[in-house]
Amino acid sequence: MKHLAPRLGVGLGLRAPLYSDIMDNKPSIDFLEIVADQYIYATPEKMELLLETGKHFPLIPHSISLSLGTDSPVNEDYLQRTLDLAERVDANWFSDHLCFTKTSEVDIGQLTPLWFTQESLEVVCQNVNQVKAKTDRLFLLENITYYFPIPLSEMTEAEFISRVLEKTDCGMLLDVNNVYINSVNLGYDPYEFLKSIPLDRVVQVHIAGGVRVREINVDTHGAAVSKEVWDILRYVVANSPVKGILLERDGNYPAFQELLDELSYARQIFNGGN
Amino acid sequence: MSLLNMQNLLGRILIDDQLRNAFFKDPERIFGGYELTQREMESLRNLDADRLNFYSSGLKRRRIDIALKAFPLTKLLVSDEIKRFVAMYCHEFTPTLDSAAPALREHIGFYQFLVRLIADGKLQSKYLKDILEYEKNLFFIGNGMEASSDASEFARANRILPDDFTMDLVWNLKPTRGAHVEASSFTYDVIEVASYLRGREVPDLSPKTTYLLFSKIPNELGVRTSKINKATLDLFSLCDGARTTGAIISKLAGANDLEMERDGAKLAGTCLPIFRQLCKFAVITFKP
Repeated sequence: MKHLAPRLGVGLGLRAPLYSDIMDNKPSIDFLEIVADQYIYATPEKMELLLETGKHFPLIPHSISLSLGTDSPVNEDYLQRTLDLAERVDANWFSDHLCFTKTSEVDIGQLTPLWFTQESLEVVCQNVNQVKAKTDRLFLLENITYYFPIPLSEMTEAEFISRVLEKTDCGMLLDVNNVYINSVNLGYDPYEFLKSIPLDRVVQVHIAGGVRVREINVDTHGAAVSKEVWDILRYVVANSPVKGILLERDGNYPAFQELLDELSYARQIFNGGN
Repeated sequence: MSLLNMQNLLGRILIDDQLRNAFFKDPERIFGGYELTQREMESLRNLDADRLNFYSSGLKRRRIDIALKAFPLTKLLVSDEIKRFVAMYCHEFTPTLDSAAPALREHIGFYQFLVRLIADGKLQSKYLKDILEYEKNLFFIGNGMEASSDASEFARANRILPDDFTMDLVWNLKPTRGAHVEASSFTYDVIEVASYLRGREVPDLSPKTTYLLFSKIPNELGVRTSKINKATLDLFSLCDGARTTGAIISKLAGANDLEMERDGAKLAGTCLPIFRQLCKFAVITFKP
């Protein structure tokens, strides 16, 4: 990768219910990740508040609807709005997911797994290159949680991810909770998975908690980070040049101190402690 | 093109319960509508039906969660009842690609759906209609681009008017409201109901007709909510950008069995502070 990303530290996903607590605890939070989709259509007043927030924290846009795996070009309007947002907050990098969220007929509205084939690989690379052609900013691709694999894939997910990252020269946003959940639901060893992807491309990491529903682990971002995820995080930090660890919490909010404790623990790992 | 066909079919299977059931019953019949390779068909035939159903249920729940983010108090009132209507909503309001802002599309669609359920008597809470209307105004005025733009424009335009402008100055101008303002009437004191709801417990309240004026605060986040009386509501409703101030006073006189020649000046004097107040908060502006 030609980009040299700065070491940001340990951050938190910016969510409206957490806003005042975040502003009251600035020294404990190194950066904020923002859901790009919540700002690319925002009023000037909402944008102004975001820019004000950006005076206190580095902001990292994370989008969910580029739909890089759809077998058609990325929506230019959405892409331009996302790039404009990254420009306005002067983001060190921005990210989206290795998946598809829409087709030419419907908006699925959720991160849907790709068919790990050569054809899909070419589609993703073409779309990622469409993004990269319009910006010099570092672009990261995130692995998703998925509850059903698409049968008759031609390669494993790890191989697919590796080849996309290498062919597009992108960084990786490694969601360790997604690795853990997929390993349980789909039955594989998470550490073998990690050994099969280019960890040297990992720039940012997501950590989060989930719940178990009807014998399936679900990535809710609504629970504390599990021991298994902390263990995987420790392994990833020891084996990759991570620049930022981001705690995602989207609901079932606990007392803010509990999130600060998780950030503190993540920072300990980030700084090489156990 | 073929991969896109496969994704289109998979996308539809995921969001359409009936199609999904039909597909797992007889995939060959569904394949007929799509140009797919043998390998793609073989892959889709081997999808895990249980896992797909699980994922699809999650999609529906997620859509409702997104929709209700605009209506947090409404959510408290309908959270149990609404479960019965999730499938109906997702079926009737298919997520299409025509919207620039998908979350906004979900808020609008779900609002329309709830209005219909309330009108059909399918939801029980007696406060629901009021609370939904209240939150609808707060959300769409607070987050609408047009509302934001109008609020700023009206505030800018009103700067040239003195605070103590006279009726003569605006008599031939047309009081106009924008997309940043809405006035609604409620069966209950919706401010009181909302306050109780935030504490998670609403006592059995008696009806109390309440009029509220919602207006976007120019250049700031937030919506100003003001209790108004019926007279102010009537006056505000006439500020449609088509009538002059004089015509509005005349219309109000007629509606209150007053004669313009005899009572017009007094009525205008009564209305003047209301116009001034509406201007002060950029609720209306006067246009030529």
